[in-house]
Amino acid sequence: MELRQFFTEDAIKLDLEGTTKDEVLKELIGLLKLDEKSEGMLYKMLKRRENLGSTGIGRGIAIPHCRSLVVNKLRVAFGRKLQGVDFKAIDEKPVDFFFLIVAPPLEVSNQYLPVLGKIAQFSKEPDVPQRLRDLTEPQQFLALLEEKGV
Amino acid sequence: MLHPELEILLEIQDLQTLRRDITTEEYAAAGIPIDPAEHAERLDERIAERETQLSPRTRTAYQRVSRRHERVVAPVLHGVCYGCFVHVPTSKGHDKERNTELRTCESCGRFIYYTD
Repeated sequence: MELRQFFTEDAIKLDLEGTTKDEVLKELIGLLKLDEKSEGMLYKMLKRRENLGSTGIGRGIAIPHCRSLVVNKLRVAFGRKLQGVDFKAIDEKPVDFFFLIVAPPLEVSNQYLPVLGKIAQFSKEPDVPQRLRDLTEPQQFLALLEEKGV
Repeated sequence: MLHPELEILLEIQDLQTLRRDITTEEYAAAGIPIDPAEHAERLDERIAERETQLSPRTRTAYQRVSRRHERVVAPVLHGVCYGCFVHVPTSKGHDKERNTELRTCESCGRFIYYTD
């Protein structure tokens, strides 16, 4: 299983418009192209997860994630905000890079936690924040995932 | 529109799943900064709060199903209940706005939620 197989170009946004945590979450959810009701339910679950403790893991990276019946397979999205957003990250620094993961409660292939782990592993690579900062096209993000082989 | 009690049941299920996930070794290994015990307690409180918002009839059904199954709400995809993998009768599977009513699978008794 490799991260590249889960990402598509239309779920990658390199110029997020939101300036707050809530706005960014909504914008990331929008990349999944769900119906309005599902978007609302997903937002509530992500907020509930964030209220337990921020998914900002430091180094400018956050991995908002949850399970929800509003999706019937694992969905991911990537967003970037170069000016950074206050996401209450563990290192208290602004977050520039957002990996959204949403999975159904029951997955036959059990990919959710491994994908979460792989994104965390990818994020810890020393050059990744700068490489993400340098992206100009969504395809380059996909190429980076392939290059890293995660 | 989603039936209000179905929305509560979906949230309860999502919270229960989150509770299970945050206490796994895989979750801890991912390095997500969270205290599983403390947060599980907060989730339990929220789950209990939402349970009280169900009508007595639905709560009884919910408790009955949860004694038998880990998950009380099952998605229906392509006409199949993903709780028991039995086909849901066509009359239930093709109604418009199917999630506006609170329905259960005739085979396993789980509440059902149409995802397609």
